[in-house]
Amino acid sequence: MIYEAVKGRLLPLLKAPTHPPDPPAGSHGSVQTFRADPNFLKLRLIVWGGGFAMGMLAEVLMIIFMHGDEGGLIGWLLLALTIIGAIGKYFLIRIDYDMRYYVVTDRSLRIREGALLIHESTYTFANIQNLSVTQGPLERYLGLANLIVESAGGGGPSGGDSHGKRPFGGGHEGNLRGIANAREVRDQILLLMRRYRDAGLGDPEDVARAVPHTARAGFSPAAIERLGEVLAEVRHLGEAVGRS
Amino acid sequence: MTETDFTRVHEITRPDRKLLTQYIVRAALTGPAFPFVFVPSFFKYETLKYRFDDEGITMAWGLLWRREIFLTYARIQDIHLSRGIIERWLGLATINIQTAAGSSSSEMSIVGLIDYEQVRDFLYSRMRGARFDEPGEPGQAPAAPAPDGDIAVALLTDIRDELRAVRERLQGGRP
Repeated sequence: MIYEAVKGRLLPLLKAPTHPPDPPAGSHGSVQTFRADPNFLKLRLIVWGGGFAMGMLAEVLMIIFMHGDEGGLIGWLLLALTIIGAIGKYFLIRIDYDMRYYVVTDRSLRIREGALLIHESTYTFANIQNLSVTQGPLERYLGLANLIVESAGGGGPSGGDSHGKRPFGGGHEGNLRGIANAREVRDQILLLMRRYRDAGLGDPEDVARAVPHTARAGFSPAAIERLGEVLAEVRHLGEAVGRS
Repeated sequence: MTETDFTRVHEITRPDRKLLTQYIVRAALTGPAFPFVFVPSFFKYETLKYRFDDEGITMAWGLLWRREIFLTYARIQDIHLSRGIIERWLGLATINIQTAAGSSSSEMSIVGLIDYEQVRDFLYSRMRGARFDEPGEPGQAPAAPAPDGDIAVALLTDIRDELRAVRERLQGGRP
C-alpha cells in the first residue's frame, strides 16, 4: 500500500517514535493505552475529501470562466497546488491518526498527538478541574465524541474553538479526540477524582482545610481516643456478661 | 522509578550544547533575519541556568534584562513535552510546565534537554496526585489524608463485633 510505504520511509526520516508513549507512574495493572476510534480517521478523511472537492470545483470554475491565457495559467497552477497540498494533507491525517495515543492510569492521564510537532501532555487527576464531552453532528453519526480535560488556570486556550478541534488543546486543556467511549472514560476519571477533596490548586491550605473536614466527621484525635475508651468498656462488659 | 534515579536531574544546571545548534538552524531558516534571530538566542543560551532542588525549579537567563523564574513542584498543574523536527534530529526536547497562574502560555519552558524523559518523570513524581500513597514526600503536597478515618473505622468495627458478641451471649448463643 502506498501509504504504508510512505509512512515507513517518512517516520525514520522525521525521527518520529513508532511505539506508544510510556505510561506515567500508576498502580500496576491500572494502565490503559488506547487510540482514537477508526471512525475518527474516517471523519477526518470525509472533511478532507469535502475540502478537496470544494477546492477543485473552485479551480475548475476559475479555469472555465477566466478569460485569456494568463487567467487560464493561474487557474491551472492553483489546481496543481491544490492537488499537491491535498495529497500532503492526506498523508498527514493518516500519520496523525497512527501516532495519536491516550494513556490512562489510576492517577493520571497522558496524551500524545502530532506528526510534525510531537506533543505529550501529562495531567494528574488531583489537578483536574473540569471534564467535558463534546460531539458534533457528524461525530454523533459516527459514534464519536471528544473528552476534554481541564486543569486549573485562568489563561484561555491557545487557539481554535471550544469544540475540541484545536491541535494540542490549550495550555490547561487535554483533548481525547475521537473516542467511542468518551462518557465511560469520563465516568472512570470522575470516580478516580473523588479521592481528592481539595481544590486541586496545589495549595497546602487546601490540605489543611481537609483535616478539619474529617474532624467534623468525628475523626479528630480526641474522638479516636474516646472511641478507644468505648471499645475498652464494651470489652469489659462482654467479659462481665460471659462470667455471669 | 526510584528516587536515586533522579540524581542526574538534580545535576542539570545548563542546557545541552546542541541547543546552540538548534538556535543556529532555526535562525538560518529565517534567511536574512538570521542575525536578529540568532543574537538574542545566543545570549539566552550562554546565560541560561537551571537548578532542580528539593522544593522546585529555578530557571534564569538574560544578559541585559535578567529574568529568573522559580516554580514549586507542588504547584505544577500539567506537564507538556514537545519535540519538533529539528529537536528530534538533535535528540532534544522542550518541557513546558503549567501552573494555575493566569497566563495562557506555559509558565516555564525548559529547553535544551537531553534527558528529557527522565526530567519529565521526575517532575511528574513531584506533582500533586502522582503518588497519593506517599503523603509525606518532600516537595509534594499530599492528597487529602484519611488515616484518622481508617483508625476510627477499625475501632468502630471492633466495637460492633464486641457488642454483637455480648448480644449473642445474652440471647443464649442464638445469632
